Amino acid sequence: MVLSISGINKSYKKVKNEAVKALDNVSLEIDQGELVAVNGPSGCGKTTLLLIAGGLLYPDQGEVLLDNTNLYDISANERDKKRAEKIGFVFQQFYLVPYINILENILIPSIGSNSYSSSLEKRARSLIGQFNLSHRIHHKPGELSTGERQRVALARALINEPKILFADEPTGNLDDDNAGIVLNYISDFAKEGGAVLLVTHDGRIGKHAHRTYKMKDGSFLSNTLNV
Amino acid sequence: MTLKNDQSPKINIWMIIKRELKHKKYGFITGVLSLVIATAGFVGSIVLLKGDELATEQLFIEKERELREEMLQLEDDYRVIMRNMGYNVLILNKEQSLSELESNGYASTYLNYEDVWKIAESDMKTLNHLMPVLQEKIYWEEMNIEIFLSGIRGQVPVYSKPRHLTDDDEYRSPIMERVPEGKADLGEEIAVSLNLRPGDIINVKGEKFEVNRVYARRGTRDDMSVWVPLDKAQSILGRPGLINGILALECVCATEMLGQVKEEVAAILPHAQVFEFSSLIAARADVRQRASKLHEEIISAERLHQMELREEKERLASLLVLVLIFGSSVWIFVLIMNNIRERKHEIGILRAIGFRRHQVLQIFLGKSALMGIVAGIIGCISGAWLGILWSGADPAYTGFENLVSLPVIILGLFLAPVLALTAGFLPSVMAANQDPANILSEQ
Ligand SMILES: Nc1ncnc2c1ncn2[C@@H]1O[C@H](COP(=O)(O)OP(=O)(O)OP(=O)(O)O)[C@@H](O)[C@H]1O
Ligand SMILES: [Mg+2]
Repeated sequence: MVLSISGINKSYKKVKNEAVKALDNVSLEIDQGELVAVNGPSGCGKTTLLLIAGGLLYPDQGEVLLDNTNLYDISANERDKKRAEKIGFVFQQFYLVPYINILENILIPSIGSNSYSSSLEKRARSLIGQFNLSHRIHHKPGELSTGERQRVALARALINEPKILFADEPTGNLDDDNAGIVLNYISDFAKEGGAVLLVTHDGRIGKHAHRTYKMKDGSFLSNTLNV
Repeated sequence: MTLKNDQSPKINIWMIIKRELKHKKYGFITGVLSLVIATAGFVGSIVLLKGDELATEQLFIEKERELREEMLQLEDDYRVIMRNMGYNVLILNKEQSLSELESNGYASTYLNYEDVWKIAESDMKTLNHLMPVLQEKIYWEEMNIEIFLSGIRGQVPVYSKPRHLTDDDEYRSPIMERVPEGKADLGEEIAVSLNLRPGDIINVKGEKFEVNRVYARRGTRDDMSVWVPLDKAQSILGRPGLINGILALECVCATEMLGQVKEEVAAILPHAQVFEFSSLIAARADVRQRASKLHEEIISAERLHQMELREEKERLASLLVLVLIFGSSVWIFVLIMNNIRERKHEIGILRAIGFRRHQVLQIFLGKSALMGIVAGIIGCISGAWLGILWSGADPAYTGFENLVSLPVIILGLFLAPVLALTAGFLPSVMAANQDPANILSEQ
C-alpha cells in the first residue's frame, strides 16, 4: 500500500470561536498503479484531505501512512524529505514561482530533493514537449494562460518521478481538449505504477479513476468502483 | 530549437536569490538605500566630528605659532628700545624750554632732589628705574676739554614695585650702575682722547676721582660725559640739593595708557613736565602689543567658540546618528513587515514545492545579508567621503587613518548586515517553521 489514511479528523478554528469541521473520520487507501478520485462540492474538504495526505497539514486525529511511514509521527525535516522524494503535488492555485521561467519552475523541486542533473533537465524538456509547452519554455508564469500554468504545475509535480501524485483540481481551468490531455498523462502515470489521489468537483473525471469517492461535508458518502 | 533552449538552467539556491533580487529590484534598492543612509550617517558623523576636531586643531596650532612669532618679535623690539635708549622718560622742571634743552644739551632749570623721592614713595606704578640726574656742560680746565658732567646716585627704588628690588632696596638689574664714592665713570671719547684707564686718578674742578670704568662707545653725547656721585656733582656745579632731570623707565603697561604718566607725575610734582623719548618706538610697540593682545583674545575667543560649536556638533551628530539608525531600522522593519505577507506566501510556496526549511532560510537571510553587505560597503565609503568633505579636513595632512579609524569602519560594515538580519531573521524563521499549508492558507 503506497498510501493509507485512516480516521482523519480536521477542524479549522474560526475567529468567532466556532470551529469548521473540514474532515470527519476519513479513511482511504491507494495502491501502486491506482488512480483514486475524490469528488464533491466546493467546500466539502477535498483540498484539506489532499494537504493532510500530502504531508502539508497536521490532522487533528488519524494517521497518514506513506510507504508504511506515518507522516505525522516523524520530524518536520524527515517529513519534508519524504515529500521531496516521494510526493508530487499539484496545487489548486498552482503556486508557480513568478520570477523564474517554466523550465526552471519545473526543475525547482530538485533543489529540495537535491536531485538536479542533466538527465532531470532532459526529463523536464520532454514533459514540456508532452504538455504542449515547448513554445513557452523560457516564459515566466505570469505570461502564461491559466491552462498553461496548470500544465506547468503538473509537470513540476511529476519531475522527481514521485511514488504518489496529489492533484487538486488538475483540470479545473482547462478546456475539454487540454483536460483530456492532462488526464491522459495522469492516468499514464498511474499505468506506469504511480499512485494518484485526485480531487475535483468535476464529475466527468470519474471515468479515468479506478475508484471514486463521493464526499460531502467532510466525509465520504459512497465508494464507487469504476474498474 | 534556439540556442537559448539548449542552455542548461542553473538550479540552486543562489540562482533563486539572484532571480528574486532582480525580480524585486525596487524593494532591494530601497532596503539597501535605507541601510546605506544608516551606515553613512553613522560613519559620516564620526568622521565629520573627527575631521572637524583635527582641522580646528590644525588651525589653532598655526595661529598659535604666528602669535608666538609675533610675541618674540615684540620682545625683540623692547630689547632694542632698552639698549638704545636706556630710559624712555625724562622729567624736567615745567619752566624748561625745549629749544634751550636742545641747544645746550642739558636743562638749565632745576628740580629738588626730594622730588624724585616723592615719586618713588608714591603708589605710582607706571614709572620705574627712577634716576635723578644733575648734568651740565662744563669746561674741564684740568684737561682743557668740554665735557658733560653728570651727577648720579644710582636708581631710586620705586617702592610700589618691590619685585625689582633687592633686600637693600637696590635694583636687581639697574639700567645704569651707581658710581661708587670717590670714583668716576668716563665716556669712551674722553677716555680715548685723554688716554685714561680705570684706576687712573683724575681731578675735576678740585675734586679727585679714581676712574672706575670706561663705557663702550654709544655714539651719543654719553661718549663726552663724566659720571660722578650726585653729591659731588652738586658741589662741583654749586647746586646743592638740586637736580635738573629725572630719568625713568616707563612700564610696558604704561605704553597702553598714553598720557597716564603725565597725569600721574603732574599730580605729584605740579612744577614738573614729562617727556617720553621713545614715544615713536613705544607707539609702534604699543600697536604691536595691542595687535597681539587682540590676536590672543581672538584666538581664545575662537577656541571657546569652536569648543562650543564642537559640543553642539557632537550633540547634533549623536542625535543624528541615533535618528538615522533608529529611522532606518524602523524603515527596514516596515519594509520587511510590509513584505511579510508576500514573503510568507513565497516561503509557503517554496516549502510546498519541496524546499527544506534551511534552504528557505538560506534564501531569505542570504538576501538580507547581501543587502546588508552591499549597503555596509556603500555606506562606509560614502559616509567617510562625506564626513571628510564636510569637515574640511585634509587627509593628506591629518592622515587618513586618523580621520577614518578602523574600528569605525568595522562597526559600519557590521551595522547594516546586523540591522538587515535582525529585521529579517525572526519573520523568516517563524515562517519557515510553520506548516506550509498553514502559511499558504493565511492568504
Ligand atoms: N485555513 C482555513 N481556515 C479556516 N477554514 C478553512 C481553511 N481552509 C479551508 N477552510 C474551510 O474548510 C472547509 C473545507 O475547505 P477545502 O478547501 O478543503 O474545500 P474544498 O473542497 O477544497 O473546496 P473547493 O472545491 O472550493 O476547493 C471549507 O468550509 C473552508 O471554508
Ligand atoms: Mg479545494
